[in-house]
Amino acid sequence: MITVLYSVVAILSGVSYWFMHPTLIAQASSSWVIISNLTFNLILGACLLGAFSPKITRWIYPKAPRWTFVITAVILGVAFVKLIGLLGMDMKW
Amino acid sequence: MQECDGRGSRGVMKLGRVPIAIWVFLLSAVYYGVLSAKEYTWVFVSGDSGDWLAASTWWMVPQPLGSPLYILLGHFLNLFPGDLVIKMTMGLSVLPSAITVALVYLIVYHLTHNRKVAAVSSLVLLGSAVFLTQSTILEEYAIATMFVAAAYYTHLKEKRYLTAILLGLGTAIHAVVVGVVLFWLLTEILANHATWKAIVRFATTYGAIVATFYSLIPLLMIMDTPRLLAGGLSIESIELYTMFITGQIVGQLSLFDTPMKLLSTSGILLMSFGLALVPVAYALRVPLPRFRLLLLGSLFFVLWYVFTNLDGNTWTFITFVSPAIAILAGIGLSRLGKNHLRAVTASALILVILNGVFLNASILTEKKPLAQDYYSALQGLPKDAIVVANAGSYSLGLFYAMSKDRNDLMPMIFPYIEVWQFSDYIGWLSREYGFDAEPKTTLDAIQWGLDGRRKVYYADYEVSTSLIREYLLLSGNAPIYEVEGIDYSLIQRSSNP
Repeated sequence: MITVLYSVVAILSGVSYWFMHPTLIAQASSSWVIISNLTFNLILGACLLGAFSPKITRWIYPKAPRWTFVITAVILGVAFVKLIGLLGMDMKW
Repeated sequence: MQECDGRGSRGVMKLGRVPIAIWVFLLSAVYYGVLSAKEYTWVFVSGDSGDWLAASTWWMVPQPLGSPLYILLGHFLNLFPGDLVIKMTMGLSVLPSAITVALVYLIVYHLTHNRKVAAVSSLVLLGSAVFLTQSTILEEYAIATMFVAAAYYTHLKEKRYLTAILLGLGTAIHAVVVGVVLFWLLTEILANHATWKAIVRFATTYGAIVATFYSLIPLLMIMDTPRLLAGGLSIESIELYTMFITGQIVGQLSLFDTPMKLLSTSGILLMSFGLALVPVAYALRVPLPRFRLLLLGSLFFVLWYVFTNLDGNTWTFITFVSPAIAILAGIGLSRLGKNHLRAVTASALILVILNGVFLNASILTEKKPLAQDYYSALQGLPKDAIVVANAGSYSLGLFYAMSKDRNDLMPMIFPYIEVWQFSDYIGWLSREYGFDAEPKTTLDAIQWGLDGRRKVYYADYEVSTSLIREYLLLSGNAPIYEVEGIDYSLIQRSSNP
């Protein structure tokens, strides 16, 4: 029952987000969003740091100390930025 | 886990670890700082920012009801070097909102003794759309909300005088906090949670703070400053200034619009809080302890205001109760299982990331610099030009440009003369520009300018002023120039006079 409730609220939230975000933006002209390479990559890069760098580091070298996670995170982050650049990401929605 | 609402809490409750709250503040400050607009902008309904910038540069009476503490802080920031837009956005929106997020952590930890729940509550607030939009632009809602959230905290700590002072400071930023205070007192009285003596002491302290700051407005009316809205210090001008808003914009009640406002506001609450609304419902189960009753009172007032107001932009007032909703979500989560916590955490994280893309004031301003282009165009106009605009973002932006070394521009704002009859605006125009007689209409004043070989620039796409433009063009006057950067193809019927 609670799963159903959360699912319904999640769907309603997603639909509301799609339809209401232009109301909040409230520009004087028609609203559109450009995904910035910098901001988008910063956010996803932070996710990589938090989620994948420890696992990847330990997979490469199981006994790696914790400070090596930062090196992995930096390498992952740079690689991700380069990949995004290769894809030419600058979309209009 | 038993919730404590502040009653008999002395020496019993322990705070969460302060360093965690500092981390919450720092991370929130970085997040909002990155997303914040770095230039003059009107995004997220911040068209009033021109007024705040002008009132922080000049000593002038801003729009009703004055926001005296906000303009004092603006003047203080203006003493330091650097772009005033960035200083006010960072100092009066980003940092106060980061403080508010940290306060939510402290409050929820105080109530639940659960660090994870407290952290998730902070995350819920961090990513809530309405709160985020007002935290990343130059507007007064973020800092007013900080004082309200701080008042919740001091109330829990039973610091009654400090609570009254903080609510007074919040009211000195935005007058709608008066409503929050009234409902605060009402819930205390109805639930017999406070004695009359305590209520009177609270009200006296609160009233003293509010009166002290709002005395700045009549003082500015007396001083010989550019007064573009008020009419000098008289009963008539004070009445006009204080009562003007009741019939305009955010002062208009419209019950006929309530069904649509219910729908749109529900959508905004869903997009702001997502799955966190489920534990909020759990937190509101009766019987309600004292603190939750206070939060509910604040929520009731603001939502009533938003639901019944004609102005579609009053959703910004949800900022005032966003911390309350996040706190209620935390209280609800403390009573639910781990799966609820995981679901709400995931929802909040998704919103934090989504908002970084879709509600990014920095990117929106950079890619569509409407306000900045308008400001730059005004700065580039020839000396002594007349600028015709409708009352709103364009007129307030014009005053901002004038306050920044373009005092020579003559602002012709419709309908200051013929409809709203701002006597001091008319008197100021006459004194500043040497009219033989006070103009009766906007057209009179523009014609005077044209007769004096001034260039007239049209700076708005509202139909009310476009009619002025069309009349002047048809009557064979000198060409009316258009301010660069405005999309005149968007001329549309406006419901405003």
